[in-house]
Amino acid sequence: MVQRPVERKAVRSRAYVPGVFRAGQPHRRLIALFVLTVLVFGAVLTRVTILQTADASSYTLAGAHQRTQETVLRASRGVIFDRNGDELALSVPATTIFVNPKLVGDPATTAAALATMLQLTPERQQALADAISNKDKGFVYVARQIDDKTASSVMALKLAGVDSYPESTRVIPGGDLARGVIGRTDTDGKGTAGLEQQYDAVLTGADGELVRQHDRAGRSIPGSGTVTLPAVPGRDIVSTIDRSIQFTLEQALLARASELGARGGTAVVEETTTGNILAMASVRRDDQGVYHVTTANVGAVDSYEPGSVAKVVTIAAGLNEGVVTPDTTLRVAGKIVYNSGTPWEFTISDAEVHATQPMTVHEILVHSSNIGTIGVSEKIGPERQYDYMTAFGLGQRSDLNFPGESKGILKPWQQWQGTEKVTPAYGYGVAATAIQLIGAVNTIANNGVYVSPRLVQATIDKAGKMQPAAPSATRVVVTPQTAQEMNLIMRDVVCNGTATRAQVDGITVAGKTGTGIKAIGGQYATVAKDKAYYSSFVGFFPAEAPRVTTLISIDEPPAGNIDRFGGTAAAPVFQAVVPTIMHQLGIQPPTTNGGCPKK
Amino acid sequence: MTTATTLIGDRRREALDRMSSQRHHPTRRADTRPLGPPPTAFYVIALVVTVLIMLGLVMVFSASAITSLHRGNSPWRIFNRQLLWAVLGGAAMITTARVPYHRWRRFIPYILALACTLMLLPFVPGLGVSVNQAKAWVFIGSVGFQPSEFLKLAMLLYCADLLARREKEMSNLRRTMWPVLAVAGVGAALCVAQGDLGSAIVLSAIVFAVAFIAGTPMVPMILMTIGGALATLGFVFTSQRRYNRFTAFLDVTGNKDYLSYQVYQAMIGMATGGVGGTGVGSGPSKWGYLPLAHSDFIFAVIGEELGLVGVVAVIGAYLLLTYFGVQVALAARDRFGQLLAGGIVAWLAVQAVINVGGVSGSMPVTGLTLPFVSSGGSSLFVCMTAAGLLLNVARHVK
Repeated sequence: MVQRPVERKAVRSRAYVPGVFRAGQPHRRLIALFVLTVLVFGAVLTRVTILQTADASSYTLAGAHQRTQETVLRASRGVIFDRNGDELALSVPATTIFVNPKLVGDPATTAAALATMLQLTPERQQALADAISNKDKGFVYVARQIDDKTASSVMALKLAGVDSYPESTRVIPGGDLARGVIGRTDTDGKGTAGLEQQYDAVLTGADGELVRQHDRAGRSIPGSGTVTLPAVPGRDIVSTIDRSIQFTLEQALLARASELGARGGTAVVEETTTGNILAMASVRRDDQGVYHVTTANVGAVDSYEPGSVAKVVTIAAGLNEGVVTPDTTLRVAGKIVYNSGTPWEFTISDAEVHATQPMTVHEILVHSSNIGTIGVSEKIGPERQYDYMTAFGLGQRSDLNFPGESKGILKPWQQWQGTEKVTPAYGYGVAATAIQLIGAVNTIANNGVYVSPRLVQATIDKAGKMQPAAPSATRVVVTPQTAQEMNLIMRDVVCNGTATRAQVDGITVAGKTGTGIKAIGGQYATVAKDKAYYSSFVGFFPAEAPRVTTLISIDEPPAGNIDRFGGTAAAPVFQAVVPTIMHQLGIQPPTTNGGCPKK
Repeated sequence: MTTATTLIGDRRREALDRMSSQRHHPTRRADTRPLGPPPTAFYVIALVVTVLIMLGLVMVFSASAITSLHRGNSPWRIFNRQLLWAVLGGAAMITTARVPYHRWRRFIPYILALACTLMLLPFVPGLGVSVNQAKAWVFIGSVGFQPSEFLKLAMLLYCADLLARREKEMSNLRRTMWPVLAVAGVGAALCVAQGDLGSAIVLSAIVFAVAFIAGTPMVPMILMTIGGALATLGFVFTSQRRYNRFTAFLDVTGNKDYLSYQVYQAMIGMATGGVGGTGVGSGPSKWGYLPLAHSDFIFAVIGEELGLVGVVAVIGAYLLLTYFGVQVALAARDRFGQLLAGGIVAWLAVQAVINVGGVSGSMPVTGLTLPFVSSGGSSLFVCMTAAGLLLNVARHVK
């Protein structure tokens, strides 16, 4: 009883025995507290100092990045004008619609709504729904470069995640008109074919940029500098194409090709003295049998054996070299068999069947005698034959420099083997583009001076100042006298020879037909109805003072009938387009008694 | 004998009581004594506090004008409110600076009871408002205040008073440490209940600091600190959301889009300021990038617009305040004054450090204001009241 409180007291007091826990000194504690405060503030200050000096750049950059918006100001692409200032291709404002899948709640519904508005196919709608379902992407195109009205009605739906931005689209106001020459741009506005590709650097401007500072909600921060680098629009180009002639030519070709049931046709209209290409058209039958203007510029990119048109080169060479005159008479066989009795036996005959007879050089060309032409060629020899063909522009890419342009086929004369030594004289064993062929005949029209063809005559800079392109290069190929002699013979081709269907009332036309046989699979067909022809007419007018040279080719006219020849298949097209050309260029016959001499 | 012994004992006890009552109120007599000229510390503290408040007004205006405008208000709205509170706080500061500090001692239990009652107001429907996910605000009409700010001051007064009275019993933990700990625990629990961990930490820090200065033995002090830290960590770690928020500062850049968005923006702001700053008014952070630019993150705006120069000046100001506050505490005429001054200094320093540390990404963000500078009426008012008390202690140093 007595001990208990003592024990309790002892236990209690042990916990509070002075010395076990000794009270601290307030003075020391206060100083300790101050030291601690200084240390902690020092640490924080160090951290902030490092942040504001050594580490500042990355944060400053991140800050500038989040409040700086850079908007690309798209430079407008230049316009392609025709020679009269009508637009052939131009860029117009449009709208591109895209989806940010991360913001879309219901991909299927969104895709369905877009499909309804934009009239997408079910397959496209499904593909779109699948694309939107993939939340990894932040950007999916819905429709590019659609018209602003449709776009605004889509945007009016206020679909989550659907947004738009302006993007210009390339428009060819003429539809198919000259599409082969103009070419095209891809969806990003880069030229991928034709003049669009060739002059891409000229047409494409330099994109500008708008840099501004904005707050978190996107509002511009007043007083923060907005830096604008204006977009420099691309330069316009003025092509040499004449829209009306181009249209007439395309329609005439379409009409003639479908009338004949031919595979297609190609035509070029060139201004004689300048080399300006006024029109360049080609049409082709599609798998359904419908004729279309081609997207490819066949006249520049494809080459064919020119056939008899090439005789112009051979005869002109002969005249120019002085080995023959138009009146020189040659004995011309009906046919010649080369390498008789060997596996390489090859028979050359004239289209007009005849026995061996004397023919003047004039008659050889007018009646398009293969064997007569070979006779002239043999007088000048293969080397000079080759040199003249080269001088007339065959076998080399023209100065047109069109994208994908062919240089044709012309082997150096040293490599000519066997009959190859004679066939180039009348247009076989060589291949030429329409541009090369018209250039060759145009040399005769232009008094013996070859003029390089060109499609662009000027560019217009952003100030509206027109800068003419350099004039076409020229070179003398034959003497004016030779050219004049050829001119007279070729008038006779139209009046009395193979190209009578190229006659135009009141105007004197000179020209030459050609009927090439296309090699199918490396072989010329031997059976008449299987033969594939490439029938051409190249002519110029008014022959007294030539202004325009025109080439018309019909690809694979019907093999079995009279319409297979250059004079029958192609010449009528020439006849059809001449009035328009004359009207467009204001051509009046230089003499009152133009046309063929009345008999 | 027994009677005589009793009488002697009674007399002795009476004498001791008299002495102790004099010890409890040693300044009562001094009241009548004319005061000498104020010491340097008085002027320095008054100057530093005034400069911080004025800098705060300028920076609050700079940081809030755009936000106010974009919310459809006058650009002056938040500045005007801050100015009003600064005027009210100024009145409170002058009052506490002039009234001898020991006179408040008899009201301390009532002040504490009132503060605790106010702490319950945010839970009253119609009065309490959640701001930044903490139910720490009371709105009466359009005037809002944070009761936890008043609780800080009340708690400080209570602890200083208690530990001043029980000076001789500092080694008796049951008489000194446990009561203080209990009050701190209740206060911290109230703050945590409001969802305001930052205030709970500051509140505990104030109580710990007063207990520390008062001379609570080192071992229990350390154990108490460890216990408090463990309790905080335990609270944080029991919720994934709190844990994520608390540890986000360890990888500010990695969490820059959500958890550490504000800190990342604050760091961008301070980095943009560099050494010289962008100039007052021209910092870009307040253009919506730093949502609490004018309150909790005012330090970032200072760092941005005044640069490292401004940062050094502000931190220097707090260090000056701490230095002269400690000088005041060291020279305080009595123990209550000493504990009061020490507690106020510790409070302001801890709150400033936690704020600046949080804004600069060195510590977790706890939603505390920067004393005297941040926008926030009750914080400014209570801090100025406390500054007045500190000034009064400074006025009465030995």
